[in-house]
Amino acid sequence: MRCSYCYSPPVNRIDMTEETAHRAVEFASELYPANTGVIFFGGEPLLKLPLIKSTIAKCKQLERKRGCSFHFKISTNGLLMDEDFLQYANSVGLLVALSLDGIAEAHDKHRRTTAGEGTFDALLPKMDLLLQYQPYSNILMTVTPETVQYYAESVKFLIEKGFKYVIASLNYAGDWTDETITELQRQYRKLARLYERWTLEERKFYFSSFETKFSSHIRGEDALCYRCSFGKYQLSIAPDGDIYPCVQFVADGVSNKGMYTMGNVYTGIDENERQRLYNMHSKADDACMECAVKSRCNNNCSCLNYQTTGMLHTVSPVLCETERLLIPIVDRLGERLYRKRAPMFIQKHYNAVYPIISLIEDRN
Amino acid sequence: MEIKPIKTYGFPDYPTREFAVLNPELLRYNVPAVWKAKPLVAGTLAAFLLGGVTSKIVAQNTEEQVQVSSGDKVKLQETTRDEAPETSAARVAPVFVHGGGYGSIGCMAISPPVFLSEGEARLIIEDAMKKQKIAFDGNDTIKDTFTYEFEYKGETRKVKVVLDGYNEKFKIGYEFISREDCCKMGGSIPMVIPGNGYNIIGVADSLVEQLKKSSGNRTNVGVFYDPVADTKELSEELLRNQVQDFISWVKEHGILEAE
Repeated sequence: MRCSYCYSPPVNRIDMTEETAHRAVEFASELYPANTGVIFFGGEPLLKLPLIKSTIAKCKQLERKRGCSFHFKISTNGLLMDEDFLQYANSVGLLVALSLDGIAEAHDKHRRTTAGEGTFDALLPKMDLLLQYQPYSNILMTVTPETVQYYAESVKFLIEKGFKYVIASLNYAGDWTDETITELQRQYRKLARLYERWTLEERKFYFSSFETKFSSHIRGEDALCYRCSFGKYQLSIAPDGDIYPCVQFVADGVSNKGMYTMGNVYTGIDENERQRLYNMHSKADDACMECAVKSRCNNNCSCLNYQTTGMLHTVSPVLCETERLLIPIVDRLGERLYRKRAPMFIQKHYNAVYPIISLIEDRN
Repeated sequence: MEIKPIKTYGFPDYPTREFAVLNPELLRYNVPAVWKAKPLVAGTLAAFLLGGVTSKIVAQNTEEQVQVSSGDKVKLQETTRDEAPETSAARVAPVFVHGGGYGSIGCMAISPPVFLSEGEARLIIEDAMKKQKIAFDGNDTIKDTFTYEFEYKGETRKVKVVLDGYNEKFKIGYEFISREDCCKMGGSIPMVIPGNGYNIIGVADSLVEQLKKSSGNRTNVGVFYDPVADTKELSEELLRNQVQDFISWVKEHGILEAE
């Protein structure tokens, strides 16, 4: 595929060797043997399925030999996803997240093949297959200025299709204008009405854009610990084994070498470099310091800042504008649902063991 | 478009989680109809709510009521954590709720929770029991076996459970549900936000239910679970609290006098 908004376009590409992949998981498990998460991403990781299988086999071997523990995720465009793969994924506990932008009009706008054809039709049967094997699968959805008009309709389509978890991100690097921002506000309002209806109907779903904002108020300071800690708990490994603080910085695996690398799986982490990057990440944008909603805003995401402004701690005006739209809409929605004492809203957001109860409900 | 700090922003008119902690009736009185319709779901919720009030439950098997440590009596509409009926051969303690017993991993931006290993838990449990002169050692540790059943993709799967510890003298056994046990016993959730989930307390709960119904088991059983707290120290402390509650339960039932 050639998605037009890709932050890691296929130039200067090299493939990760099996040796580097095995060393990467060995290295990661030495850092956190109790619970190492391995996420396969690309490019399209399913193009390298034998390498993924070999890496997972290596992890299983390490679990047996050293008593460490791994869990696995993969982000895929879904085109190569078939029954054999999903059977394999379930057998090794590999959780699949599917990149899908919603209805055909939205999805096909950017997610096209090398020949320029949309991929929605090819994905339709794969969606059912994925839900059959992994009913709690995440959808990773990107919203751009060109597709914003389909935002609400796309989320509705995905939830009605049977997906329970929609992780939506705006393409902040897109060419947003006053008109498209106004359209975004309109879509958020539509989504708020949908969210309210589904919640009153006691349907269970997770829509990331709203849930994170509810959480930032309801959980307050606690929600802050769910934010990115930039290179402290999550590392991204480039094909040559170089270590980066986040996937966005890997880019093509070459361009950012030296500037954002913090070691290599063969030589270990350069703690000075890691601290330098973390300090850059921790520095708040001066413009945000006096903002009343700074603790609820996504200004802390260095990857987004880097993607849009080229600086880790400089916030994009688009991010500021869209966050200022979103927070009041979500808060009014929260107020309505609370006034109505909507049971599913209250349990979902105030009950710490909601996931357990929800699971018991699903299984009984 | 430009960066425009918001000078003032009114506090939203829906509460924070602290309010729910101080006002547990918020969760008790606002239960989805779909949950009420399922006894196991409603019962589990009720048990959690009680655990949240005092973190200490002493179940009584009369009139569907439970006594909480403050002395208050709270009516449970449908409790699934009561003790085994007198007709049962096994006497199974309820799950003593200390810690959420739920962990999720895998999100891009989350630090992983801390799980206790079987070995770490065993040291804590057996050390506390040893102070009551209840030893789990030698060949006694593998004494009683039991088959646990769970649903997986529409089919029933069975796992043989060997109690982690057993004392012949008092016929006391215990099982600690670790993350590994949770996976083997169907408690691993494929994908729950923010990632892969482990419903460890749910497995403990279900094990208690099934043990109560088992026949030929003449053991006094305690089921503990990994609290999955933010730090290992806190997890260890919560597990110690579970064991202390079990010891109180053992004493209240005169099990140590049955020598």
